Order: sequence, then structure tokens, then C-alpha cells
Amino acid sequence: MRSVADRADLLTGPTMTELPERPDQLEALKGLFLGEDLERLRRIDAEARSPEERLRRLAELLPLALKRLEKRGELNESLAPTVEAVVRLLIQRDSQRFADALYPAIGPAIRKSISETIRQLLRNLNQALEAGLSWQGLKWRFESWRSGIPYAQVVMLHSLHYRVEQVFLIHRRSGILLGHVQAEGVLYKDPDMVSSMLAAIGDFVEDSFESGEAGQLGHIEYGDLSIRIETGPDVLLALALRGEAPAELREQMQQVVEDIQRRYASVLGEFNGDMSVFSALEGLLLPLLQSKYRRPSRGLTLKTRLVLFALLMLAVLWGVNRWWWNGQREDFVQRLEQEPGLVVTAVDDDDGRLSVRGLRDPLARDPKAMLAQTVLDPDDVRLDFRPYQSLQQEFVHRRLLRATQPPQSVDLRLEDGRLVVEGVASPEWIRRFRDRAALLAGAQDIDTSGLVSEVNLNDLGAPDSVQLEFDSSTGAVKASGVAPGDWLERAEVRALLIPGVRRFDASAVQVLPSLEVFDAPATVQLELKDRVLQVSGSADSGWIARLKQRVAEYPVIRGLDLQRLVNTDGTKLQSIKSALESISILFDSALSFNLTDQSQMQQAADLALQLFATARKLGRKVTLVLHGHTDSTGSFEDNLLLSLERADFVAQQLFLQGVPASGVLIKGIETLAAPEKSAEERRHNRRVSFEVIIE
Amino acid sequence: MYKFKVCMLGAFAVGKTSLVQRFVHSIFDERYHTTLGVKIDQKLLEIGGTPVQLILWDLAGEDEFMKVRATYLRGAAGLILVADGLRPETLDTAIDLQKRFNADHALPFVLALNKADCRDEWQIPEHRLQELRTQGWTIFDTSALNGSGVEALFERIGTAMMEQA
Repeated sequence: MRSVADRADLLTGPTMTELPERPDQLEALKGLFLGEDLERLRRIDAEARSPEERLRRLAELLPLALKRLEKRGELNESLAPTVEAVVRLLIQRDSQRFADALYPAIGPAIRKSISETIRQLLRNLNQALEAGLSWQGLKWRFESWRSGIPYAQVVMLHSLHYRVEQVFLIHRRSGILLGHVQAEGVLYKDPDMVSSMLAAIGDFVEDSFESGEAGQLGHIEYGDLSIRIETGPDVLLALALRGEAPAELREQMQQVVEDIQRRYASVLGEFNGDMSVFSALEGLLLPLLQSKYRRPSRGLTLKTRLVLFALLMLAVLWGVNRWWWNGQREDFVQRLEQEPGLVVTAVDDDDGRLSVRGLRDPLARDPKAMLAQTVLDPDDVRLDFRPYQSLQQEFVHRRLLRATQPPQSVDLRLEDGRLVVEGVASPEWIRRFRDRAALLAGAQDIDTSGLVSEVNLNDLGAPDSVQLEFDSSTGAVKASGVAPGDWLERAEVRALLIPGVRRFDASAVQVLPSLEVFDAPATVQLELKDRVLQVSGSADSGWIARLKQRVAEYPVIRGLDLQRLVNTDGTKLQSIKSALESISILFDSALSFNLTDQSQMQQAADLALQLFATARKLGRKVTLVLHGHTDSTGSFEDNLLLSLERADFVAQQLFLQGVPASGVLIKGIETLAAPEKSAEERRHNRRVSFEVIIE
Repeated sequence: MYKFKVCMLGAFAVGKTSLVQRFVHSIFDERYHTTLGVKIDQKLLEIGGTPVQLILWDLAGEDEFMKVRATYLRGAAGLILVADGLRPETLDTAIDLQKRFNADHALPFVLALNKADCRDEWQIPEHRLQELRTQGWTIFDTSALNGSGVEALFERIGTAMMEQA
């Protein structure tokens, strides 16, 4: 463009100064020569001069140019150092800002990295698992354990078809390493030295073996490791790989060599040691890090694997089951062995069934019952126990209990190897027990010191008012209440005869006297009922009085019932009374005190004396009332006087006989007698009658 | 980062390997000398702020039975000649090697005169060394025993190669 502008300049510049008068002619001439081109030239010139135009043009073309460069791939390389320098500068200037700028990317980047790692982990895990359940897998596991290489790696190594482990790009002439990449997890030695040595080897071979035309090291093999080498004019590409590489790899290598040679043609030819130009080289080498795995040829499908696994689990479960059931069986047998009264003599496996033989004391637990308590199936177990007698203490005990059937009041137990019997039992039972115990073998020591014979107190025939108590600790029979003395005496004797009774204590008994003490005559019946002495029959007051005295001596008797007792003295008095009252002392007439019948008077006097004597004896008070009577003749007053005189007369007679005056009363008439109907009647009225009042 | 191939040459048993072994990284051992005739070592330097990696091709010593393999010298960016101060013939060998492979001084090179610890017993006259120096030779007195001069030697060759790059 510059040259065109210059040319344009040539045309317009000097020409203008030379021919200022005819610019239009010059123009016409230009137009002739150049035609349309002139316009174009002018335009180009204008553009070239104007910086804005230049800029505009450049701006137009720059993106296109960049795009084209991008296509060729050189742009990145060219820009890389610049960009790197820029980034470094930015970080230096203001790292915080840079960090801030990066920040949004870091999160996702980290996440991506993590997810990648996890994915890788899962891949490894997958591989490991896939190989895990196969025989091969187990072999590899063993190998891993043995060699210390991680299992995943062992798997990888074995399932490798081939794997490129390292790629070296070496400067052919000097052997200097220009670029190196290695696969994950590969151990490698210092690549610089290795590449130089590799070059040295190449040189060595070339030197030592007449290879004729310039040969090149193509291939080194060492076990399953091989080094493939492709050579370019300036570079050597070496791949360290394991396994069988495909044919395509060679082509690929050649391609890469070509690529590199082309791109770095300028620097390779005159390599001066400056490594900075090769910074992007590794990107070209990475595609060569290939690997291919083969699936284990005889791998099992997932289904088969699951089935196998299930079978394995079943086998394990069966094994565990078996082991557990055996444990249960052993447990059961052990329990049988430990059960007192059972002796296990043999344990066999009888076609899968457990067979236990032994001896069993009839009083021991039933093995069948024990079996029922376990989880074992009764059909699976055969129990064969023969009877025997165990001499173990416990069983002697049980047998004794069975044989002797002790009552509830007796306690039979084993203590320190001795059989202790305690309590109260009837003598018969005790006797039976002693006999049996001696018979039952093995009762080395029976302590019956605590056994007390029962005491049957019913034989004593105690009345209801008596309570009997037996204290087994002292052997004393205690009687309390109210008991007749004779019974008490008999009871004492009888009680002491009862085995087990050592004492008879009647101190608390209120003794009832024997009825004999009252000395009752034959006419009297005595009965002691509820501590009340019931007297019936008849007796004279003397005896009655004595009775009362006696009764007082026995405070135990709380009452005396004489209601049914007839006091004979009392009757006497009555008879006297009636006799006396039947007597009438008749008077002849009103005028004399001549008695018709003197004998009557005497009788009366005797009776009166008897009356008072008896009364005195009985301690009763009697009053003898003499009633005077008259007939109806005369006046009341006269008759009254007369009656009194008559009564008095009789009284005097009595007094003369000794009848006490204090007990006699005189009484006259109260009314005039009714006119009599006969002389007999009249005679009768002329009397004195007696009235006896007994208190 | 710069990488340079540097070849170490010298007569048989001048102590090339023992001289540098303290200062370099090695993964290959002595026997490569007898089998391949070369042992590769690596040395890292920093020259003027730039990391420089020297790949040392320790070539088997030259004697009447064995000659240095010329092929190994291909692509070298520098040479280290080693001679034994106690044996003047080794200096002759070094000079010879230089003539054979680097007569035009195309490659930067240095001479390491080993056994500096026994300097008093050195058999090489000083004037010979002076002569070499005037010819442009850079000479270092080195000792495998105390390691003197080795680092300086590496620095020097490194710098020289950088300058040429």
C-alpha cells in the first residue's frame, strides 16, 4: 500500500507544483492512463494517509486474521506466553482482584475436580467389584495382599490390554528431553536422565553395530514393558507402554512426530537449550497416553454373579444355622447333665437326630418337659432315661417327703447336709417318720430335735368353761377359765399322761367347788350352772343358812338360786299358821269368859308357842292377831268392847303360856255382825279367831 | 529454563565421576561406564535468575584400549575436560581430546585439574597451564576430596553456554 501511495504521491505531488495552471488537464490525463484505477488509487491513498482509516481497516481485518490463525492452531502458541505474562502481571499487581475474578470459577472447578475424583473412585471400585467375585478376582486379591500393590491397581494391571505409561519427546542430537507426560499412577524415574540414556543407547547401538544407513532405534522390549520409538529429523518420540499396542499406535506416533517437527521446525533445527519455546509441547503428547482394557474373557454375568452370591449366602446361612442348632443341642444336653437326679450316659447323633441316654431318678425333672422348654423340635430328639435312685441329698429329701407326707405343721429340709425336721406332729406320724427315715438309705443325719409331738387335749374332756392351751416350747398345758375341782384333779393326772405334756398349769383356773361340800340332804338337788348354784328340793332353813355360808366361801360361784327350794321350816310355819287360824276359841256367853273348849285354848297356846319358836328359828317375824268376835246382840259399842275383852282374855292366856307379848295384837270388831240365823251361828260368832301374819 | 548437554571427558582414572558425584543427581550407576561407556547425571543451576539444567554425559575415560565415542558428543553444548594434577600425561590427553572434538572452540569448555588437595605434589609445571590460558583455556583446580572448585566450574560452563545460546 505504501508503494501505491508513494506512486500516487509521485503523480500528484510534484506534478501539481510543476503544472499549477492546468490541474484539470492533468487530471484528464491521469484519467486516460489509469481510468477507473485512478479513483481507486485516490481512495487507497486517502485511506493510507488517514490513521482512522488504517485503524478501521486493521480492526476489520484483525478478527478475521485471528480466526484464520486460530484454525491453524498457531495462535494459541503465539499468544500463550503473552497471556501467561499478562496473567502473572495481573496477579502481581492485584492478587485479590485476580482471586475475585477467579472465584466464580473456582467453585465449579473444585466441584468438577471432586466429581471427577469420585467418578474415578467409582470406576476403580466398579472394576474392583467386577473382579471381586470371580476366582480371578480372589487370585488378584491375594496377589495384591502379597505384593502390597493396591488391589485396584492389580486389577488394572491384569485387565490391561495395553497402556501407554510414558511419552518422551527427545531432541535427537543431544538427547535432551523436550517434553514428557506420564499416565496416572505410573512410577517413573527422572525423565531427563532417562531420555538421555535412551539417546545414549541409540548412539551406542549405532556405534557398535554397523547399521549401515542411518538407522534408528525402533523398539525395545523388556518383559511386558516395551518402548516404541519413532524418529523424526530432529526429534525422537519414545513411548513406554505395557501390553500389546495396536498397529494404529505407530501411525499415531508418526503423526505426532510430523506435527511436532512442523510446528517447531524453526526452534528444533537450532536448539540452543532454551526450553521456553516448548511449553505447549506436552499438549501434543497427551493424546498418546492411551490405554485399553479388556473385559475378563471369562467374566460372569451379573445374573450369574447374583445367583452365586445368593448361593454363597445360603451356604453361609446354612452353616450358621447348623452351628446355632448344634449350640442349642449342646445347651440342652448340658442342662440335662446339670439337672440333679439326671445322669447322662451317652449322647449320639442318630441320623441327624439327637439321642440322649441316661438315668433318671423318678423324683427328678422329666427330661421331656425340659426338652419342651427349648426351641428344639421334640421329634428331632430321642430321650432314653432309665430309672434309678439317686442318693443325692436332695433326692433323699424328696423321697422322704413323698414317703412320710408330713403335715403342714412340719418342715422338712436339708441343711448343711443334714435333714432337719421341725415342727409339731401327731405322735403316730412321728413314729412313722422315724421308721421310714431309717429305711430310706442315705439319710445320714436326721435332726429331729425340733420335732415335737402333737398334744391332743380333747381327751381331757374339758367343760366349755375351760380353755386349754398347749405351749409346745415348754410342754405345759395351761388351763384357764372356770373348772370344777374334781375335773381339774382328773385333768391334771390325765394331762401328764399325754406324751409331750410336761406340766399342767391350772393357776389361772377358777376352781368350782365340788357339790359335796354343800352337804346337801337327800331332799335337795344341787346344780352348778354358769357359776350359779341351782338348789331345788326341800331343806330346812338351817341347812339353807349353812348353804349360804358355804357358797360365800367360793367366790367363783356368783349366784345362788333358791327359787326351787322349799324351805321346810317355812312350811312348818305355814302349817302352824293354818292350824292356828282354824282354831276358834268359843265363848259360852257374853257374860263369862268361860271357854267352851279348854282344849282348843291349849292347842292354840301350843301352836302359838310353836309359831313364835319356829319364826325365831327361821328368823322371820310373825305377828299373831287375835280377832275378837261377838254375836249380833247388843250395840256396836258394847259388842266392840266385848270383842276386845274376849281377845285380850285369850291373849292373857297365851302370855301365861309364854307367848311373847310383843308379837301379839288384839283386834276388835269393825262392824256389828249380821244377825244370825241360828243359834249355832250365834255360838260361832262368840269367838276369838287367830290371824297369823308372817313377814 | 535452559537445558544443556555437557560432556565430561578425560583420561582413564582422572577421577571424573568422584569429582562431581557430590554435586549432581544420579540415577544410573558406575557400571554404565563399562557397558555403554557413558553415565548420565544431572545438575541444576541458576544463572542470572534463569534455571539451567545440565545433563552431564560422563564419558568413560580415554586410554590406549578405549577411545571416547565420538557419537556421544553429538549435540553437546559444552565440554568439561578433566586431568589429574599428579599425572602430566592426563593433561596431554585432555589437550588431545580438545583438539579432536573442539579444535575450533565451537563449544565452550573448561579444564578441571583434579587432586588440588595435593597441589604440592603436582607434576604439571605452571608454565604449561599459563600457555593454555593464553590459548583461551579456563582452568579450575578441583579436588574430589574437599570438593573445591567444582561449583565454580559448573557455574562457569553454565554461564558460557548461556552466553552462546
